[in-house]
Amino acid sequence: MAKRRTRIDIISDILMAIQQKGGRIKPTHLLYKANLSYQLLSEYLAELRDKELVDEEVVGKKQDKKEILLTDKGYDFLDKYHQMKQFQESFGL
Amino acid sequence: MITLIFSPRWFFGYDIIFELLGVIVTLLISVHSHRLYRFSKDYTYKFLSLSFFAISASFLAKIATNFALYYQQTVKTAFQELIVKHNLLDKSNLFLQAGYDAHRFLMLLGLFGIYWLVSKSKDYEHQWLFGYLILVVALFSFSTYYVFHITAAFILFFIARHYHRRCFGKERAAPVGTHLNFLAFSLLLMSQAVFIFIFLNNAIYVIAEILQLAGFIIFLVNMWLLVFRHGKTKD
Repeated sequence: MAKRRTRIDIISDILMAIQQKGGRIKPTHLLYKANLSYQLLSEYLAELRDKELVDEEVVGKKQDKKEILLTDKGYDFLDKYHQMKQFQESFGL
Repeated sequence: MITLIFSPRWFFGYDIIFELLGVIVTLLISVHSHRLYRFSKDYTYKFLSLSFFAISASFLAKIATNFALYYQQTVKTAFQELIVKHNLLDKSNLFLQAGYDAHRFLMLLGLFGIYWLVSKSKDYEHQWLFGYLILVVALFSFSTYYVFHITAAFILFFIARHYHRRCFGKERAAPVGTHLNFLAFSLLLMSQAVFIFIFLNNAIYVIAEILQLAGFIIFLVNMWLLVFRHGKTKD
């Protein structure tokens, strides 16, 4: 059985999904990639925006579409997360 | 009267330098683990940080005690005193006893903390029981130092066994860091096993110290790979 994701795992999954798309992603795509309900993803995104890990940008000719961007702080967070995972694996925690 | 100095005279000071490296390495792991705790708020990292900090403090206690002991020896020798049993001290020397008690207690506590984490045990009754037993061993092995080394070797054996399973078990291949940790803990286990027999010959003390140093150097390499090299490769 797959291990239940912790809060920090979910956050990193969201940020990694954005990173894998070159640093910007459409909300619907993110919803699919993050494997979360719409409600939960909205809550997480609000928190990530508050912490300046992601940003939003309005795009499209009619300026009616939204994209989510990974900030520098977001990239730093992912780097620390990978470091933590390596340490965790290495020490068998 | 209890024998406290097992080091050959020519090795005085070298063991202190070796153990200073132990302090630096364990402190490095402790600080890094604490940083990960602050990042993730996961108590596992805080507990690991405290365990390595206990080992670090344990070595500091031993260094301070050995330093005082070696200094006494040097002063006595400088004044050309006829010291037939220069490696024997009176049991009433409270500073030395407190120093070695602290060293033993903190070392066993730190090792047990690591064992507890890697074994992922949730049995808190056993935790208190082992805590009590560690205290007993630490406080009552002043004159029978080998009891401490046997206990430390036992705990290290179980830690090393855990890493051995992770490295060579049927699960997916373990990362290099796990292999390095297995090697480091195995070297520490060997050093504690050798320390048991230091009453036989002074040279055995040197061998045990070298094995311990090798263990800490492996930890240092692992930390370099995990922290510093990771930092460089991200760019």
